[in-house]
Amino acid sequence: MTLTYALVVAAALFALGLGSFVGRRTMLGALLAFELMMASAILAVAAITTLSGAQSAQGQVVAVVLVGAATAAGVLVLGAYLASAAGDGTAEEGAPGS
Amino acid sequence: MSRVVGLAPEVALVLTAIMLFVMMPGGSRRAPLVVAVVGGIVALAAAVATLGVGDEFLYVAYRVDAFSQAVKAVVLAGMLVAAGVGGTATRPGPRAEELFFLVVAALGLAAAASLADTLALFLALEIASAAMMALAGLGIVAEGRRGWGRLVRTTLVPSALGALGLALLTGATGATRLTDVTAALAGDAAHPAALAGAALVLAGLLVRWGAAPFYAWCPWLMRDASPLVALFAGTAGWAGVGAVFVRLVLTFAPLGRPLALFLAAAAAVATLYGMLNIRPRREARCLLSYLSVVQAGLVLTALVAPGVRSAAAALVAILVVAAAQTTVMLMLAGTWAEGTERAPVDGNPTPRRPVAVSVPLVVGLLALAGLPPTAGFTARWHLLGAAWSEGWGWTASFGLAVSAALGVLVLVAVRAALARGGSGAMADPPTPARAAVIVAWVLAVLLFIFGLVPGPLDRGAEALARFVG
Repeated sequence: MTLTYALVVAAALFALGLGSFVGRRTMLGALLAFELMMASAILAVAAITTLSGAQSAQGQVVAVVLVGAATAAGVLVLGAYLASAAGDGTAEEGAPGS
Repeated sequence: MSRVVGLAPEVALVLTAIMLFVMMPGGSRRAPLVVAVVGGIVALAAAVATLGVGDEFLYVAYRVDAFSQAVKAVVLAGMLVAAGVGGTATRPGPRAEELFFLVVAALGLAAAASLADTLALFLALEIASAAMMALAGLGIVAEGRRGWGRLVRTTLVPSALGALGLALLTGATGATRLTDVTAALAGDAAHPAALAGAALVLAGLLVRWGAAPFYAWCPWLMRDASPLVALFAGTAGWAGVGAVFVRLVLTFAPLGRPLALFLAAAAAVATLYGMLNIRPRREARCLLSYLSVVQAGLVLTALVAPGVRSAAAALVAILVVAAAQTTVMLMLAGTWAEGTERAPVDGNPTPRRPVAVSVPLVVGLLALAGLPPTAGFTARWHLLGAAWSEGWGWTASFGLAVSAALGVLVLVAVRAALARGGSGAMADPPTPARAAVIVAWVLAVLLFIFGLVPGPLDRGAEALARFVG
């Protein structure tokens, strides 16, 4: 695999995530799309630092931090979504972003 | 010991956050408010006292200098106004949880002003925006949930854009420290991935700066947000993220013309988008929302030519806009506080305002429009002058045209704000809290004085701009 192919895949994943993010009406769907976009960023940094052969250690640090940031954001939004849904007794209609 | 003094504002904020965390969930509303206000005052005093301190921490990743301390002072002043005035304006007062997230958001923005590492900067902004997301969600009423959902969405989009940009930038330059990134960009021919990364980072930050504070909330959340949330987002949030944006633009300056073209396009999109959505006759808070988007675009017109002069102009504009927005919002937040949260502020019917409210409201609106004799005029003059002197005449002309149109729109809003109520107007016009009026008057007088005598403000901004890059 070359760097160009890896970056094209990452860009395609990001575009797919962004398209889904804009199109989704529910918070859960938007959250999944967000995780896809974050995964594309992690793929990009892993590819560009590994395949170009420079600063791979720094790339690993950035990748790990991005994994942590994506997880934290997901937990926060999911928690708020579930709290809101539990308060309403609804999962979709009353949920934020619906 | 002397080195630790530079971190005094952050230490004060961390201690305040810990105390608030211990207090929640608590029954008393007064004690957490006192803790937040006292902690904010101590942190603000520490930031002002350490304006002359210059030091570096964490292997040069955390820099304390005049620029960072000045930004912290503005952020903390916004936090204090939000907690002290916005918090006391609502009954029975904010909960410890709300104040905790307010302090954490301020801490994230304050840290971002000092951070000189792209990765740490990304994390600090994430912490600040997550805290804002939680803060806005805590106080929201049922009707505002749709707006909260939009706020979450516009918080996640810049996170994803920033993450991809950071990934490309780090991979292409092999650096995360701002000085190393600048050196790498200035060295060899910039890698296309570096340019794409810089553009994505700036685009994400621009969404946070111009859009996230207000636009996403309008009209739902903005209408239903507590004065505390709205005041913090509109003042401290706007100024803090704006200062970080200016620093990053100077960091990416070696990218040259491609960066300038990107910024010019972003300026055009932001100003046009904001202008097309301003509806001055219908809702004053909507006007403020979209005005903030236009202001971000106008600041960008100066930054197309990154340098000390444009950075100084941008800093003056950011400070003036934050002060003007605070002035206007304090008067509007005051009206929410008197049990008329859902009342149309500048719609129809409109209550007639007392002079004590009208004067700061009008001065704030004129400053936002960039009209004389307020500091908004000189700030706009410097912004457009910076672009013009660097050969970006068409950008400056576009900014001038937008400013003229903005002036007309805001004058219409001022007329609506001062109009007598119609037959359906409220019998008792809402009166802002006394503290809100006092702070608004102080800010209005400063906006007026610096409009007449802009020299000290300009010199201060130019001195700060030398520390930005």
